[in-house]
Amino acid sequence: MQTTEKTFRMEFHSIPTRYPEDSWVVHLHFPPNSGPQDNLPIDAVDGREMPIENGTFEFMGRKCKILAGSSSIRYADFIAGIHEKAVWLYRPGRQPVPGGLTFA
Amino acid sequence: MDPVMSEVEKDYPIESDHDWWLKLKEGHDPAWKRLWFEVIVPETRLARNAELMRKYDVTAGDLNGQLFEEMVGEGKFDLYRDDGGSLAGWLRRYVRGYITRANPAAHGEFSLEGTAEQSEHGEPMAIPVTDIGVLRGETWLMTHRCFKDLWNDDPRKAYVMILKTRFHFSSKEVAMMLDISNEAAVDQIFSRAVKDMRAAWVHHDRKG
Repeated sequence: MQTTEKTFRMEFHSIPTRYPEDSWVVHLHFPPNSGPQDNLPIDAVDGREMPIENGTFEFMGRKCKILAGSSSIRYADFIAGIHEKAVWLYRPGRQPVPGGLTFA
Repeated sequence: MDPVMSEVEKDYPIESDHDWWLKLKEGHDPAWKRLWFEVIVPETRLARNAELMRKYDVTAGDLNGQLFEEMVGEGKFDLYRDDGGSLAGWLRRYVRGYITRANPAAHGEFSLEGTAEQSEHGEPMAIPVTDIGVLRGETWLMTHRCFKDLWNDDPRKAYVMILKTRFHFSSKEVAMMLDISNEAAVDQIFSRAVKDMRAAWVHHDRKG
């Protein structure tokens, strides 16, 4: 299990929300030649493109703590959760908002 | 006037579209430089095109390269009728087509989006009467609806689909990245994903 020499990122989007600040976009980055124990960086912004200061991103069967718009997941955990469907962003004082992987 | 543009105009003044066309066919450098400013740059400055280019990571250089390859490499310059119609306008239609077709969901094995700009033989088609912008937006939404169905069936299929069609990884690379036993297994998952996407498309299309 290893990423290639190419750097790329996958984009997860929330479902459309009434207010832009409730929506979110999360990028999962795949650095080149990462192995199972390496961390894949995550960045998270809201619909106004402001970093999400505090929240929890649930995907791959894991809950990743987001602080100042950043988080990470171990590559091995990403693979272990590859069949997990739930994708949610939880933020204090807001309703949890689901989302999913996109082609963007 | 833009000093760069002025220099380009001096290097290659367009006497007529016919002469310009002949020079472009020969790959004449100043004539192509002029094309850059008359065709590529104006298209990339249109808000909608700029947005799509940003979204799909397409550069003006990519467009120029694609145009050169198609026009000179594949001889498509011969399709220009040279009957007084604007050469720049004719070329800009191609460039617009490259930008709109940069959508990863619009090509690859599961071609969900129709070819709006060209017939299957590659000739420009008559201007459609429907609003292509709206149609594309709907197609994009439909693609996402089908992709969501794929995800809901098995997210791994969606990852394979995106790695193959959006990032153009080989089956070998996908197998290595997603810890799938071998290339044949990746091909099988991909093939099922394509089939599922097609079935979902038909299903949603019927539902309206």
